[in-house]
Amino acid sequence: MFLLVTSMNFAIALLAGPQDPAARSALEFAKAVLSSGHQISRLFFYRDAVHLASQLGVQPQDESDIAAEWRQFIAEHQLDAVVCIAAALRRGVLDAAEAKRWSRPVANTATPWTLSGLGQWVDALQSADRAVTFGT
Amino acid sequence: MKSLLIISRHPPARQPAREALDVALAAAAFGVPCGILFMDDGVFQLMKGQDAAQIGQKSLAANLQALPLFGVEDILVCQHSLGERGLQASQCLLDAQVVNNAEIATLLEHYDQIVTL
Amino acid sequence: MLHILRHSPHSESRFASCLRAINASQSLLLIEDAVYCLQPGTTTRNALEYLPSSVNLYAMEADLQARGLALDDLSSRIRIINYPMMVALCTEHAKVVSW
Repeated sequence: MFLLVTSMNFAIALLAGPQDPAARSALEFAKAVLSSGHQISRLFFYRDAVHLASQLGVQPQDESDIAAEWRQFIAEHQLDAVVCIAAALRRGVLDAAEAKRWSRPVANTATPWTLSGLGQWVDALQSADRAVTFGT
Repeated sequence: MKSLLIISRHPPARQPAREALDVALAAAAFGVPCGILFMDDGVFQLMKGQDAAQIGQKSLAANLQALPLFGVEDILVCQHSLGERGLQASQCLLDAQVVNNAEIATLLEHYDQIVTL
Repeated sequence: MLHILRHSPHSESRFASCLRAINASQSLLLIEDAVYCLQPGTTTRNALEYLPSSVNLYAMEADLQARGLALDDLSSRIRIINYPMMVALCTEHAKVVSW
């Protein structure tokens, strides 16, 4: 008889922005979830975490760019990365469709991020084996 | 169907307070059995007599009063947090059920998912 | 149930709130600024020591090192973990609560 390690589905939410250490903790955790053989059913970015989806941040060359690292990680693994649309609009994070809808001069987010509603998080919480929140 | 307990701990003048209530309302709107527990500075959200317009904000009262209407089943407030802040249940906007530490530990076991905001 | 604490005990009431809500059969993981509660000679460290011995205590190694807390100065109760071990803890516990 041998042990079967069951693969689990994780829903991961991040509530804190790029300036908070939680943005790093959540990324390292998400990487470890995949490297441990589990799946990430959805990443959900709420509150100040929506700033991670902005492409306009510029970091000094000798400092890490956590937003770029998240973008690369999501794109590489083709993860479902949902940014709360209400929280994003409040904080000036808009994709092309929202910039057009609200007559704003610029869009600052695009794929691999998706702007959508809180229902996406509620849905992910219901179906995931484990839900872990960072940046509370 | 799994149920969800949302712990709300931000004072009312902060954006996260409104965003925590939004999650509770969204969960209830999607038919997820849901409760909300106010603790730490979150209990200040429930204080009667707030006039948020004085600091250019929209009152949370409508969102709070929507909780039972949307079907948020349990509206709970931490007894210890109230006491620490000199508040009594009678000073709270909603008919919130006061729970002690042991009851909070039981609630955490009872709900399938716990979301802290 | 796995409780995850991330805030410094000196700036936040949720450290105390978490300790009040924890049951004897549960686990507590300290990440980010919550590792400051392990600083020797503090009341917060004593509060952890007074938790029932059945409560499993964990702390994130990278967060301890980043904040200059000496690993060899920790209580023998504290198990030092990395991110893959945190993932394993989440799978071993039926529920995860972040404070």
